[in-house]
Amino acid sequence: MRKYRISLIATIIAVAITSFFIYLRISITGSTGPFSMDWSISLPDEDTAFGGLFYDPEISINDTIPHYEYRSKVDSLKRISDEKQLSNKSFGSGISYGAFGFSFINKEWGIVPDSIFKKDPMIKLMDDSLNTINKKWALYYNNSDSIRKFKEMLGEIMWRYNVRNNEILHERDSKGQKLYYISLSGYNADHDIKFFVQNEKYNLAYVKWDSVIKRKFDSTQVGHYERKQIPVRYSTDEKKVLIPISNKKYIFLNSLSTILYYVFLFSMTFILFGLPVQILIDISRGKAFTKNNINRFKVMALVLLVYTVLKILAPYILNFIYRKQIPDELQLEPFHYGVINNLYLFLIAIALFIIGKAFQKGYNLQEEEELTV
Amino acid sequence: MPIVVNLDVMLAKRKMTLTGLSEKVNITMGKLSVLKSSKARAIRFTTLDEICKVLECQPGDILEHMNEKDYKKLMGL
Repeated sequence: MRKYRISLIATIIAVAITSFFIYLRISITGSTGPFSMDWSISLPDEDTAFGGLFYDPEISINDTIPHYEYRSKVDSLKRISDEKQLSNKSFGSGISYGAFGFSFINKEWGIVPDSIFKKDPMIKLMDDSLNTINKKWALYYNNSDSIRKFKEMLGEIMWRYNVRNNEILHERDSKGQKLYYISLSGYNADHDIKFFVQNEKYNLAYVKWDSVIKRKFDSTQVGHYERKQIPVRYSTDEKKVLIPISNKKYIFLNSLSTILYYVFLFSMTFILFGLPVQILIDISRGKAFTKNNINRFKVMALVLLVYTVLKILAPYILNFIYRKQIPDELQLEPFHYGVINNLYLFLIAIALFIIGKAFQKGYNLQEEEELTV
Repeated sequence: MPIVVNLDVMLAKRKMTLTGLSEKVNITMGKLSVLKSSKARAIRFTTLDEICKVLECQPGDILEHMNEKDYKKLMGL
C-alpha cells in the first residue's frame, strides 16, 4: 500500500511538470507576434530627430561631390553616428551581483573634442616632431640605414602618441562628472522599441501603428516612430535597466553590497564547499552516520533551496520596488524562464535532501545496531 | 521503553562479576554494560541463551516489564 502511495506522488509530480511544459510549448507556438502581416514603418532619419537613432549618413550627403570626398564625409559622419549609438547602448563600468549591480557612466561619453588633445603640450610637441619628419622625410630615404632609423623614430613617436592619447582619455574619464546607476538585469524590449539619449534625457522610440492597407492577397501595416521620455537608462546589449541615483547613495549602496557580497561569498563557500569536505573527512575516518553529517546535509539542501528561490524571485522583487520608474515597454523575462534556468539547482537541493534522509536512516540503523546486545 | 534488565540482581545471586560473565558469554564489557544499565534497544536470542545458560536462569529472571510510572521512578526520569 505504501509503495503504491509513493509511486502515486511521483506520478502526480511528473504529470504536473509535463503539463507545465506542454503549456509552455502551446503558449510559445501559439503566439504569432506583432507582424503577422507585412509592415512598413517610416523612419525619422534626420540627424537631430530621435537623437540620430535612425540617421543614415549615406542618404543625407549629396552624392554629386567627388567619390573620395563623399566617402570621407560619410565615414566621418558614420563614426560620429556610431559613437552616439555606442552612448545609447552603454551601461558604463561597474559591478554586477546577478539581478542587480551598480555602474557609472562618464557624462561626457562619446567623441573627445580635438581641442582637448591640441591643448596638451606633449601632444603638441609630438605633432611638431611629426610635422618636421613629414617635411624632411625625403632626406631620410638616402640609404637603408637611414630608412631603418627613420622607421624606428616614427614608431617611437607613434607609440608615445598613443600612450599620451590614452592618458588624456583616462584623465578626462577620472576627472569628469559621472552619472551613477543601480543596474537591474534581465529586461527585454520588443525589437521595434529603441532607447536613446538626447540632451541628457532618456527616451524610448516606439512604433505607433497608423493604418492597415488591405490588398487582395495580403495587407500592410503602416506605422511611424514616436518617442517618450523615461526616467531610466536602458542598455540593449546587456539587457539592463539603469536607474539613476545620487553619488552618495551610490557609494553607500555599493559599499554595503560589497560587504554583503563577501559575507555571502564566505557563507556559501563554507556551506557548499566546506561542509562537503568536512563530510568526506568524517566518512574517511569511519564516522559517516553521525548527527553532524545529517545536519550538514540538511543545511546544504536548505541553503541551496533558499538561494535558488531568491535567485529566481530577486528580479521580480526589484522590479516591484522600482515599478514606478521602469517603463512598461521594458519587461522582465517570463517567470518560467527563471524556473527552467535554475531547475538544476532545485534538483541538487532535492538530491542533498534525499542524501540527508538516507544518512538519517543510516544513523538510526547504526544506533540500533550499537544498542543491540 | 519500560523494560528493566535485572542482570545485576542475577549476577549478585550467582556471586559473579560482569567481567566474569563477559568472558564466559564472549560479549564485550561495553555491550554488557549497555544491557545492565537498561539502555539496550534489543537483545538477540543467542545472547539471551548464552546468559541464561551461564547464570542458570530463565529470560524472565533477567527481563522485567514495568508500568511507565514505576519505570520512570526507577530510572529517575
